[in-house]
Amino acid sequence: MRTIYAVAFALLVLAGCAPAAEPAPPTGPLRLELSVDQASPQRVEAARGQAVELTVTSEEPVDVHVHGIDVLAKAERGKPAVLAFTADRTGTFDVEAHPDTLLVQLVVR
Amino acid sequence: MTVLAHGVGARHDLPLPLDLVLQGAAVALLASFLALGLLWTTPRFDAAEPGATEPGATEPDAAEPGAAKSGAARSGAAEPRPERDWWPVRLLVAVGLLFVPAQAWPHLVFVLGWVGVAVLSMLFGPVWRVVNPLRLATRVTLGRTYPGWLGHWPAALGLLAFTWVELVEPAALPWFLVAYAVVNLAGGVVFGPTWFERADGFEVFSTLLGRLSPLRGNPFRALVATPVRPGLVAVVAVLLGSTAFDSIGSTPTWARLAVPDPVGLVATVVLVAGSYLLASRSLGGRLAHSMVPIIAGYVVAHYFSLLAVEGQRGVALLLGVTGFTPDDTLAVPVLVASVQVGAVLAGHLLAVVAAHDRTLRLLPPRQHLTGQVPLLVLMVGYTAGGLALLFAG
Repeated sequence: MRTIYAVAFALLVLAGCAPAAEPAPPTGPLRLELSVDQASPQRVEAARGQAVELTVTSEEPVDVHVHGIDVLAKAERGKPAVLAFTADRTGTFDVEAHPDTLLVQLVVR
Repeated sequence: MTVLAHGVGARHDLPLPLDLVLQGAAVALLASFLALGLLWTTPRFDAAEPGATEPGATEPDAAEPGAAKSGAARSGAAEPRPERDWWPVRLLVAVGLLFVPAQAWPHLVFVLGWVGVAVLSMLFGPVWRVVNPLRLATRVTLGRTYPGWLGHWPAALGLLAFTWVELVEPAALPWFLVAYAVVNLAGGVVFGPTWFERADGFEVFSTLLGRLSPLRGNPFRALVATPVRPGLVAVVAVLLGSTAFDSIGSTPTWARLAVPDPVGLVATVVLVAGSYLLASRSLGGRLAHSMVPIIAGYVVAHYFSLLAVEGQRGVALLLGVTGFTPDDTLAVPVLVASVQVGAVLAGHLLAVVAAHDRTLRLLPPRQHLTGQVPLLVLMVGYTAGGLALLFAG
């Protein structure tokens, strides 16, 4: 039994030794052009504290929202929505056109 | 995903770093096969209902045929004592629910209820049966006999319906709650407490997780004492599959596929059930209890930050405070990643030990080593897959 505990413990310690990734310093603002009609969502990495500017075009009038950051803008034909904010919390945030079209997922580290 | 992820909250956790995922999977693989070679070769854990030594906590139906047949005689030997009646607690909860502000319900159900009760159950035992106000219905029961063939099937269906509401259609929550209350009041009046023990999805979930409580005796004995009823594997598959789909459904890759969410949810559950039945073969439900630690590990991994952050908002909403900003301290990436990997691996190790001990009893000696391999491979697959899902985009 003691062997097993020792081995299990050693393995867990080993697993805990992952090198921590150095956070990249925020560079210029992250600018993304997104389309509601041809949504092809991806993950996009942003650094914490980085400025983000999203331009969203849509043929139909639609609300665009960044979950967890609480910025909201309206897009309609010929008049794209512009959302500008600072990514000041870490996490994964969905940018969605309501009700449920995922446009991009911001991964803020 | 829908307007509100999980029906509440809006921020997902960061994806796990790839190196952590690979190390975790390697640890799971290595530990599993080391366990196969190093662990004991005669079964150690007799079935014992958790808390059976304390008065008033014994389930009267502990003597299930599977356990008796396989020589787990102690489960039948436990003296059935009259159950303590928790009606004052339930009445208090019922009255309290009348005063819950409308905007607090999603947090109350999806965070404090679904996740909070699950975590409390792992720590303290089956709490849902104590606080569930619908159990008051059993005081006016007709006392009909609950049909044995029905087993846990109503619970599996109820849990599937709930996870559909949680992950796909949070707007349907009020309808679900009304339906849940009506069905369970009716079931409680007709069949009495047995209805809740077997057919109420939340109680079945809470009781299963409650077997892991370290405060109520040896969790392994409690796990072995899980009564094997029709639908038990379905309950396990719904619990495991829905948590997996929670990860899958929130990835951009899933959104690009444009498959309807309900199809994905059901497909994931069917995949889990199918792979389990394939790996456990003739043993079927008699090993289902060993999946409970894996479920618990996933629940903690998936919902830790939700409970830590949105739980605060839930309490604030319950108190009628609306403009509350929760404290993010507990959701720092390094803590979340550690909890996730730690919970998934701990669940995996407990599951491997539980399954190992049980197969020693269920299989003839010459199959002891080889007979365990399919389930072990499946568990490594679930664990590696679960870690990969926490990374996947």
